[in-house]
Amino acid sequence: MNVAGSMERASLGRRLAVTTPWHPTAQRPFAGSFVQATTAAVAGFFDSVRLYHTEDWPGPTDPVQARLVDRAYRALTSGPNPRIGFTPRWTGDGYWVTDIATPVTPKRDYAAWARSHESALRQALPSGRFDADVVHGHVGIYGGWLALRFARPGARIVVTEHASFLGRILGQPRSRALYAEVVDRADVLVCVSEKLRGQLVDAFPRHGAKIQVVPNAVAIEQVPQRPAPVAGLNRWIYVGKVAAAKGVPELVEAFGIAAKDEPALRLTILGSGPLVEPLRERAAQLGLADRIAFPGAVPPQRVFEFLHAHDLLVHPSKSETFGMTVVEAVGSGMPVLVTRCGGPQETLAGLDGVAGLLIDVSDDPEVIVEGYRRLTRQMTRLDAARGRAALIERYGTRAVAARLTAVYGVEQPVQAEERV
Amino acid sequence: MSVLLLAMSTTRATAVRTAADFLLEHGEDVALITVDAEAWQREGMDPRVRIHPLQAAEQRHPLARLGSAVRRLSPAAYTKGYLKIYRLLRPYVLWRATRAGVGRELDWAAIRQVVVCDSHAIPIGWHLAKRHPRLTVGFELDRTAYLGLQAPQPGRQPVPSAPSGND
Repeated sequence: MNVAGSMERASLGRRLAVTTPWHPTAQRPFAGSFVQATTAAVAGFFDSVRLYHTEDWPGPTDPVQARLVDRAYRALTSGPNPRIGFTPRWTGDGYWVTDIATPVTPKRDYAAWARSHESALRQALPSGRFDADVVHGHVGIYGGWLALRFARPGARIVVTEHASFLGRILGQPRSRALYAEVVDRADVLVCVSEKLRGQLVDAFPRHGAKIQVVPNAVAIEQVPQRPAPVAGLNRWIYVGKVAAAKGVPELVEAFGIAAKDEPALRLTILGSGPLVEPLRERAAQLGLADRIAFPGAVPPQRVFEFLHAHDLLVHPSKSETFGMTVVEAVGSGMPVLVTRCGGPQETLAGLDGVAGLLIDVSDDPEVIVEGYRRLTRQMTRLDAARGRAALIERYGTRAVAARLTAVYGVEQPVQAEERV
Repeated sequence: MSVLLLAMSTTRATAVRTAADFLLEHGEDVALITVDAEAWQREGMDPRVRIHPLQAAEQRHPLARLGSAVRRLSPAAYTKGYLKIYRLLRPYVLWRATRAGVGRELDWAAIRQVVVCDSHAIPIGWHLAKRHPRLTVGFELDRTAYLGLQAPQPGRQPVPSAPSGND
C-alpha cells in the first residue's frame, strides 16, 4: 500500500464492513439475529461498522421476465441521480445497516443467486468497494462471495459459515467453484460448529489450516431469566419453523402419547411454516385440540414471554448447525429436551443432564416420550444457573467478541467518542 | 397525504402488512396496487387499506381476451403456445392496466411516497417513477418521515459501550 493510502486509512480509523443475506427485517424479524448479535458484540472494537444486508426478493421464474425486472431495478437504482437510493439506518447496536432489496430468480443455483446479490450490492456501493480494513462475510455464498468481490486489496476477509444448506451449495459445480474462490481469498473461514468445519475441511483440505470454529454470539447476558424456577415439566413448547425437518410432526405424536396418561400436559408450537394446518388437524384427530396451541410466529422480543410461561423446550430437529433457540432457552433458565442433531451436542457439551437432556435423532416419537420421562425423573439434577453460566462463557457476547476480534486482528476496543 | 404500496404478490406480505399498519397508526391513507385483492384479505390486510386490484383490468386487456378466445378454440394451443408468450407480455399488460385504471383513480399530488414491495412490482415502480418524476420512490417505507424525525445520516453517533460492558 502506498503512503497516501496509509495516511488516508489512518485518518478514517479502523473500519469494519459486514455483508450478510440475513438480518432482522419487518418481513423476517427472526432472520439473522445471530448476525445482529455478533456484529453488535464486535462493534466497540471499530471506529465505524457498516452492515450491508442483501435480502432475497424472489421474482419471476421466467428468464425474460426476470431480465425485465433486472432492467427496471437498474434503471431505478443507477445513474447520477438514482430514483431509489440505499440509505443506511442506525441500529442502536453500534452499527449502520443498509438494507438492499435483491431480486433473485427462483429455480437457479446458488452461483446464480450469488451473482444477483453481487449485482444488487454494486448498485448500493457507489465507490464499488467496501471502505473497510476488515470485511466479514456471513455464509460463504453469499456474504463470503460479496466480501471477495468488494473488499479492497489488502483488506482482511473473514467469512463465517453457518448455512444449513452448505451441502447443497457444495453439490452444485458452479456454486462450488465460487466457494473455492472464496476459500482461496479469505484470510480466515470461521465455522459456527465442528460439524460445519468438518464439511468444509473435507471439501477444501488444502485450506484446513485457515478453517476455524468460532460460535455465533448470543447475547445471553441480556436474555431475561424466568421469574421462578421450573417446578414441573407440564407445559412444553417448541419454537421455530413448523416443518418436517424440525421434527415437529414427531413432537405432536410424542405429545399425544405422553398426554394420554398426564392430563396436565400442554404443548405450544410457536412459529409458522407449512405444517401448521396439517398438525392442527392432527391435534384434533388425537383429541388434543384444546391442549396443543398454535399461536403462530411472534416478534423475537416476545419469545421470552412464551418461554417463561412454559416449563420445557422440546427441540426435536433432524439437523441443526447451531441451535440458537436451545441456547436462548437455557440462557433463560429453562430445561431443554433436544436431539443430537449437530449443533446442540456441541452447544450443550458437558451440560447433558444439567441444562436438560439430549436424545437421539429419530422418526420414532417414543424417543421423545422416553426422553421426557427420563428428564422428569432426573429433575433434581438440573442446575439452570450452571447451564446459563456455561453458555455465557462459551457464547456470550464478550467471549465471542474476544475470539472474533483475534480473528480480525484487532484486540483493543476503540473509544466511544471516536466512533462514527 | 397518502402512501402507495406496490405488491403484485404476497411473497413479502408480512413486510407490506407491517408498513400498512404503521402508516395507518400514523393517520396516513394507504393504497395498495396488486393483482388479486382477495389474496391480501386472506393475509389479514387491514380493511382501511384501499386495494386497487389489477385482475379485472388485466382480463379486459385485448391480449387477455385473445387468450380467452384461444382457450375456447384449443386448450392445448392456449397452454403450449399462448401462455408462454403471454407470460413475457404480462408485465406490460399489468402496467397498462395500472396506467389506464388505477393511474386515473389516484390523486397523485397527494401521494407522499411509493413503496415497491416485491420483485414483480419493480417494473411498474419504474414506469410510475418515470411518469411522475417528483414522486419519492423506495424499496422500503421511509418511516422517519412519519415520525417527524430527520432521516439519519452516517456520522458521529452516540454508541453503546464496548461489548465488555454487556455482562
